[in-house]
Amino acid sequence: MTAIKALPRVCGVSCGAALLAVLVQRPALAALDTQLSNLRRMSIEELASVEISSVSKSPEPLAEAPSAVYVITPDAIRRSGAVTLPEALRLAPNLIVARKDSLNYAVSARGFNSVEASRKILAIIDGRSVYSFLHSGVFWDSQDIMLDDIQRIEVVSGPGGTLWGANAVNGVINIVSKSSRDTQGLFGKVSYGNLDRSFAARFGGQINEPLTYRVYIKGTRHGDTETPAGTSRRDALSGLQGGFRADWQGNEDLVTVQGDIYHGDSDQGGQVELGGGNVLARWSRPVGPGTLQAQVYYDRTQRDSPGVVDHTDTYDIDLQQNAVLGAHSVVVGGGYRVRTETFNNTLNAFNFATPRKTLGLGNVYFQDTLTLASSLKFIAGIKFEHNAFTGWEVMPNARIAWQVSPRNMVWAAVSRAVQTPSRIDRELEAPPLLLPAPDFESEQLLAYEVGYRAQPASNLSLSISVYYDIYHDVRATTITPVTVLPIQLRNDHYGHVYGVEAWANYNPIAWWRLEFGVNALHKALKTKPGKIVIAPDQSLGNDPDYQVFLRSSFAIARDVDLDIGARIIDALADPAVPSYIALDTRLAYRFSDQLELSLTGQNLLENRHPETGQPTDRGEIPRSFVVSARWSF
Amino acid sequence: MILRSSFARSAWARIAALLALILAGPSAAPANESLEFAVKATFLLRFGDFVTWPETAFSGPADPVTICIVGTDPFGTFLPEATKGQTIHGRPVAIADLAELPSPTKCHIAYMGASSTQSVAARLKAMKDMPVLTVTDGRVDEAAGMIKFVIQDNRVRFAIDPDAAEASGIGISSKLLALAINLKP
Repeated sequence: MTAIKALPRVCGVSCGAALLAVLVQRPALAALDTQLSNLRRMSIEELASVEISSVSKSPEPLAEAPSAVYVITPDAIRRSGAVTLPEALRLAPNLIVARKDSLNYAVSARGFNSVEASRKILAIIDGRSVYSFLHSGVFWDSQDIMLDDIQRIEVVSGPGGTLWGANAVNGVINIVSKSSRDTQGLFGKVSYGNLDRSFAARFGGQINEPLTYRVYIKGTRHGDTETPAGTSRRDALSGLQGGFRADWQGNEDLVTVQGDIYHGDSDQGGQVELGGGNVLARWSRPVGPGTLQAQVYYDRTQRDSPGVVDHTDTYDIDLQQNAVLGAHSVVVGGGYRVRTETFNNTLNAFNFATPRKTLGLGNVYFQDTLTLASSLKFIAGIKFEHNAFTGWEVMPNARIAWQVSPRNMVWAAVSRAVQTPSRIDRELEAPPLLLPAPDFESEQLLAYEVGYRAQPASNLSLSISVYYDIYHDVRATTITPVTVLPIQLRNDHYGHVYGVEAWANYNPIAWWRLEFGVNALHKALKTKPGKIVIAPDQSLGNDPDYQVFLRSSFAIARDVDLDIGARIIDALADPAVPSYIALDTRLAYRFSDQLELSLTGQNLLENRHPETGQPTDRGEIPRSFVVSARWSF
Repeated sequence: MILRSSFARSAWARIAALLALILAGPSAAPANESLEFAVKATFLLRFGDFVTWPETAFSGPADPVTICIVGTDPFGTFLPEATKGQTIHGRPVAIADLAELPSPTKCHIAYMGASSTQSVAARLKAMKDMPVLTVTDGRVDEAAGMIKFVIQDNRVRFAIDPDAAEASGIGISSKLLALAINLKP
């Protein structure tokens, strides 16, 4: 399967027509939610059969928790013109998203942004954790899910360790896909542009009343980035992903089984070849005064480049019970994960003494939301997690939420989170250059947060949060004084980061929506006395001091949408990246409820700009245009 | 002097209303973005098509149908969006946010949101025998109005108390009654 290399060719002629043909689920008449405009057209019987978000069917700790949570809606994803998941994540004002080259992205919250350092945020796709066992980061190019089947992306900035475990140090990206009940019928989408391209097709059907399913296939080309002179770096990667989801809904039981399989490789001579798959089953039913949920999954991830193989098999089981007991709303759960990884590098000396290793990860947690008064809630929770490197880790948090008035809520939180060592942190060695670090400990965070959420008018909502993060034992690449070599990864950084995240949403009139976001931080991370470190960006990241987001969504006419968005990103210090303004726009026309054509332009102000990485190693992101067609029956 | 005291009265009324606003409304998140509340907002509008009010409920043929949200508004922009440009029995639709009941605002549909100052039962009592379609929410309180939202099978469903509606002079179509679920065992 050399897969999607063939995409441009296959699509050349036959997709020309299909391109004119794609689809749209619905006109988003009022620049709000597509869902809402869908609802407006439904009969009252149809309304009664709409499946509401899986997160609100039972006490949903994450969404209800007083925290800095931003929700990316399906409508916003569609109107962004994004072709891939990491591009869609640029919508969240509490994330820092930077593209290093064709396929590598650095995605983080509250600092630590670089391809190597962005490993303190936990990404979950339908309950499946997708961070790499090797370095604890996420390979975003291997998560090429169908964007049109996403129900919501919850982006939480701040620690989520109590519920989500180690690695949810300063953020959680929780991607929830739609039930197959909500994706019935045929759907197709083709996006053709000078940078990223994709096609996607899905079919959803119903076998009998309680059982529905869908199958999909998506092909994506992550396009070539450019050198500063404007020549192609020829680093494009093409991939193909397919999958299914089946949902069975009994009287009380909900069962979901889903899976994906994918393969991708570099267009220019096998620089990277990736492949893998997963299958997951989830079951929930009301038990006692709440809901019991059980989930198991298997995930296989392969990522090879010439001379390097990296294969991981993951088995995971999780149990969770929610219950409402008087003034207490509790959630208790636990899980166990086994990962087997083979990493073998014959290209250079950097390797593991034991290439193949199997490690376990177990956890139990408990969280209680206590309603003290009708306007006051207190939340306390703790997780105990055991890992093979550092043993038991404890991740507690305490939160308070005060509903000052019906439209004003103030919240505050104190949390402890840890990042447990990855295999690279502990085991990577290249004698006599790099020593392994068997004593490498977990990195620790103590975070203080305060937030305010308000809805001053029915067409205006806003959220602001400030945080003060204290870090201990953060990773450093430490050199030996005088001789420089050997170097070793050590817990030699510490310090604090503080910042503010705010966003607001304003609908001056029904067909015009304005969004504003800002995200600013100050890092004061230091090296322990007497230690000398190199390449600090690889451990501490290289962050913009501020980012500003502006977006305007017009429904110019009933069938015409115009979106204009700008991201103003401050310069990065080391390695230096100049500040830039990314101006994006999308114009869409709906021929009918079935067919939508759109033209998206991205990075319109500049020919190209770099976003992160060493000048010798990074690609610049060119101005791009995408023509897209969506089509559904 | 008369002027002055009427000013004082209205000022006090405003301060009291402001206090009520500050004190009211507990747990529900202000802008709930979930589909659940979008569905409920759409239902609130749609119920109107299946309900008849006595003539006395309106002062004139152009009088709007007013949907009152009493207590915390969990709908955010969903309700204004759902009702924009819509009509019920040919009448325009208005929305009012109220802290308490009774209120000088004439409601035709009243949704009982969370409140720390007035229980749902107290609000239902205040509306008793008035031509107002009372809608309660199982998420907020167990008390049941003429219509009560419940979540069943991960869907928004509702139960209807036809006797309470009839006592208030409100007619509910058989189609809506057929769609309702039965909460009694």
